[in-house]
Amino acid sequence: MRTITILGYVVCGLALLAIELLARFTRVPVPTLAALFRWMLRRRSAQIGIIMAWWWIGWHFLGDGA
Amino acid sequence: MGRWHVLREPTVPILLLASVMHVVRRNVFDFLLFFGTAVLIVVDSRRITGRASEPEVPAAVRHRWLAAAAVALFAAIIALLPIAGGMVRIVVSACGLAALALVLVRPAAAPTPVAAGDAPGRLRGWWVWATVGVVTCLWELSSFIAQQVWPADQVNHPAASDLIGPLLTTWLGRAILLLLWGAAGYWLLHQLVTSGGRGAGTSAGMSGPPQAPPTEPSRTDGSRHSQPSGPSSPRWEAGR
Repeated sequence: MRTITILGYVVCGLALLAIELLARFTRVPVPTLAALFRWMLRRRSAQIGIIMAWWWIGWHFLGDGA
Repeated sequence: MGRWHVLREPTVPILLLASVMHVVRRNVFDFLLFFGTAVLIVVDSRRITGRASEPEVPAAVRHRWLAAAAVALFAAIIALLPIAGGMVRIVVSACGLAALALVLVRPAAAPTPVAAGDAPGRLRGWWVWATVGVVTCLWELSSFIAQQVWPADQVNHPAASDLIGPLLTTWLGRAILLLLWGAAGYWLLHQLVTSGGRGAGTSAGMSGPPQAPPTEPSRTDGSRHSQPSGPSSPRWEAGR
């Protein structure tokens, strides 16, 4: 069961990588991750939310010890 | 709806949903952080000080190699410190407070079609990222629920943190995480500072009101979406 759970994370990670590669090297109408974030960052609410989410990731793994 | 437009945007509902999850996790700090951020966004949305002015780009932003070297040095030094130690907590907290201050001190733009929740343009294919992101979150959530239902069997249902945590016991693991975290933070702040916080998506392949195509392609991020586009472009999607 542990293997299946880990495999799920790996598949999700590979899917995200595949989207980025598709966006960069094909004509599939998908934005790059950078374009997606620039789009989201138009809204001030997203600016605050994303900055806080970024900080929380650092705190979760480094400050809190996850 | 008027000045409560922010409640129609996705950020606040997402933060509130995450807050509920932190209640279930019984993590008071994370709950206060996420709920507090949602409240902060609502309060901030009531503060309208006029349109954002043209940004002044700090020297550290203009010299990208200098910034990259600074992030690498930061990662290498902070990785020497033990996780969850006092010094690491101070440094990480300082980074977060500085970043948040940088966002908050910027002038909040007067209501625009975007701020009012009527997005002037959409990003083609954004839902692909969203779908995989949601699936990833649901997978993590399923592991968390399984841990609650079968507490004696936690090893078979690891959360992402359980898998990443052991990698951070070494200097190299911490340095890589700090490098990625620092680079992501720098990139986010770079976007905010250089965009003026009001048009960050204009070169992101959005559809929407026609704009004059740039005479020179902007390739600041190497994204194909930075190429000139316009109503005649196949990337241009008509309206909503």
